[in-house]
Amino acid sequence: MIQVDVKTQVLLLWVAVGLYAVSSVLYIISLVFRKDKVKVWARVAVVAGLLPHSAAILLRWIAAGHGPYLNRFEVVMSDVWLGVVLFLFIQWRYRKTELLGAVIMPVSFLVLGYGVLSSPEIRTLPGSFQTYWLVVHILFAKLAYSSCLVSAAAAALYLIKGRVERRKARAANLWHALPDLDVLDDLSYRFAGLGFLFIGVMIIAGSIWANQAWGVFWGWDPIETWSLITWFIYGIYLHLYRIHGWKGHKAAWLNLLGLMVLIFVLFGIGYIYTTNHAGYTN
Amino acid sequence: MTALWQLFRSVKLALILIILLTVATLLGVSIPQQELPGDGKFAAWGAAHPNMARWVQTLGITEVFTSWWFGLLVVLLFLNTLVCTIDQVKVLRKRREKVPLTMANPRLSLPVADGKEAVNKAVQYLTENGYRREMATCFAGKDVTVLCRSRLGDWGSIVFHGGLLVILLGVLTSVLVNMKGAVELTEGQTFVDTHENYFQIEESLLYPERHSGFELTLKKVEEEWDESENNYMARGTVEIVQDGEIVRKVEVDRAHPFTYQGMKFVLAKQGYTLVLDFYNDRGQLVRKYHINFDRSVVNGRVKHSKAFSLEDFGLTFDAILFPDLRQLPNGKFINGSTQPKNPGLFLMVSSEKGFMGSQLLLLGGEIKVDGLKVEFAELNRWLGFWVTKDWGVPVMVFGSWLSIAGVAVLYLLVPRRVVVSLERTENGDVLDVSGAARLHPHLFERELTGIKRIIRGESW
Repeated sequence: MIQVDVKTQVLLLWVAVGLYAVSSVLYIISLVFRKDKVKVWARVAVVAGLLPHSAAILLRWIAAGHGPYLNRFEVVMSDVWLGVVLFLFIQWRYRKTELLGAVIMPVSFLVLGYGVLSSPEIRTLPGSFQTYWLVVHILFAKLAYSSCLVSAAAAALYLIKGRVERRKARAANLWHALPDLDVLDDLSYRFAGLGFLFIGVMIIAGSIWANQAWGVFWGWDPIETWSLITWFIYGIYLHLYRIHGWKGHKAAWLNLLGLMVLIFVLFGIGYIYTTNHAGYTN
Repeated sequence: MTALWQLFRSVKLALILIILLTVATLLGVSIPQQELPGDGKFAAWGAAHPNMARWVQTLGITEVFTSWWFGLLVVLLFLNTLVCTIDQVKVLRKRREKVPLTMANPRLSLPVADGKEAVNKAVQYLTENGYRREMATCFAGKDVTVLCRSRLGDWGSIVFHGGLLVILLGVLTSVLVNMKGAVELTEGQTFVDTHENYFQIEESLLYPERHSGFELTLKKVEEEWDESENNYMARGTVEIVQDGEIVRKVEVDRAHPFTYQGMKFVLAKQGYTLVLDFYNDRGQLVRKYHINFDRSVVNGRVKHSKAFSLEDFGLTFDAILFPDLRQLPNGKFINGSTQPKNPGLFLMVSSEKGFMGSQLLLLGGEIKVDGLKVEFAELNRWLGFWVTKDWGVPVMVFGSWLSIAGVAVLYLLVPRRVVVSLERTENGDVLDVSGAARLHPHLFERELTGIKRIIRGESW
């Protein structure tokens, strides 16, 4: 029975990956060829992809008996889901932010595709995981990933739009659909700030959980340490932005560096280090 | 002193320190550290990269997180954050005494017939919308009223940095006042809280060692096996006795540690305890020996093994435990699972003279060596606890929540200030309204439109 469920989950996730890939292509076409209608279809593809994606998460939750956070397959499917939901929310909340999808959706479909390729085996929840601190830790890790992704998408579009505008070639017409540079910069800063907060809460909740489970508050585990490094990077970014007026270009590059480190923390550490988070990185 | 204060109030210094800490942390996580759990990593890495290892050792970056310079960076960051936070409070106080600069560039400028009435109307409108009068003064020939909403938001950054300071204080306390120890208890065994009874114990510089001599007795151990029959969750019942009286009885498992007298007992290890009875040649029991087996996984198989010496007998033993001993048709023995269904013990004995004998024993079985009879008497369970008492933990937790509250205030409560000023000119009175809000200039559209309508007497 569980075998069938796992196969269904994987199938649903591949459908979602396909639809997210379609939406990525459509967003890029809309951005480059200035096709407003295509943008609408891209959003339709995102929503259509979110349906099987949500269904897969629900099936997984029921089959496993715990939230989707125990191994890479589960972590990736839920992280990407939250990222896509946040992207839809931003489209609804802020004007002219649809084309952030040209960055967010390609990252989402690539990360989800990578996650689906990992082992979908269902694991039993260990005793030390049965604490609400873990829920806080995991929830905020996902929120951090989503916020930093949105922030980096705004930063990336800032860089692209800024570059085209500087060259003045086809700029005014081609990139009209994007928000103004100031708005992109502000969006990028605000979501980086949220990401900083969420990473902070994630680290704190994780430490409290570690103290409960292992009697050690902080053990310099690679994931702990790299999370601290990510937090430092976003801290540096925020200080430079707020106090030293590092807006625009330089801030956008630093923001992208922050996302790269965060993606490495979430998905890459298991390839290099042995860590206490082995269950989640493998 | 002033120069030192100026140095530490610099945000540039904070940035430099954070960057240095980031680099140091990167080094610490990239180069295998000697003092971290899993020792031997550095030696293995050094053997693979001898030249690089020599450089790393010369630079002294093999113990980054416990080095004096890493500690110095943290202390400098602490001082820097402290001075910056005090400075921020000063700046905030001064700012409240100054007329905001925004009035130099009014966002709304309306000629009005009765200036005083217009000001009153504007102030009343703003008060009804959650603003509070912060200042009323005369500045550059104008009557100026400053109103503010969400003033608490000004404190967000200060509270956040205050929280960071508390965390760093907690870290310092944790380093100076803590104890870490380990206790191993077999089913039925009692542990008495004295320094020498701990399996391992480490106390920091300022830890006030006071052992109250309480007793912990592991009354029973229950197991919950998973489907593979190789892994189980142990749950122990522990009785705490103080001054001869039972004060508590607790259930403990990996997810549920317990705390007594500020000491936290975390279940970290579990396994089997082998009981060997030693009889002399007259059949008298001369020694009862408990061995806690370590559990390891070799080639995907769970293995329980232990080597130990008994100096009074001059014997060395190599023991492999088979909790579920099964014999294959070809005569080979294997371990069916890790459940104690049919315990078997392979015992190899040697002395200074050399190998003395080996035998596979079932429960109650015996081996004779050098005039001694060794009996596989019992198979019990043991639990291993990490014991910690860390005065810094509650401080760190409090600081963490404080800093989170600070960021939440910073983000959720954006202080908005509106300056209403009245200028009397030869052509009549002019009402100027301007607003200031950190990073959110558009927040004033509603206020400005509202004031315009109220003054003009328009209905909504």
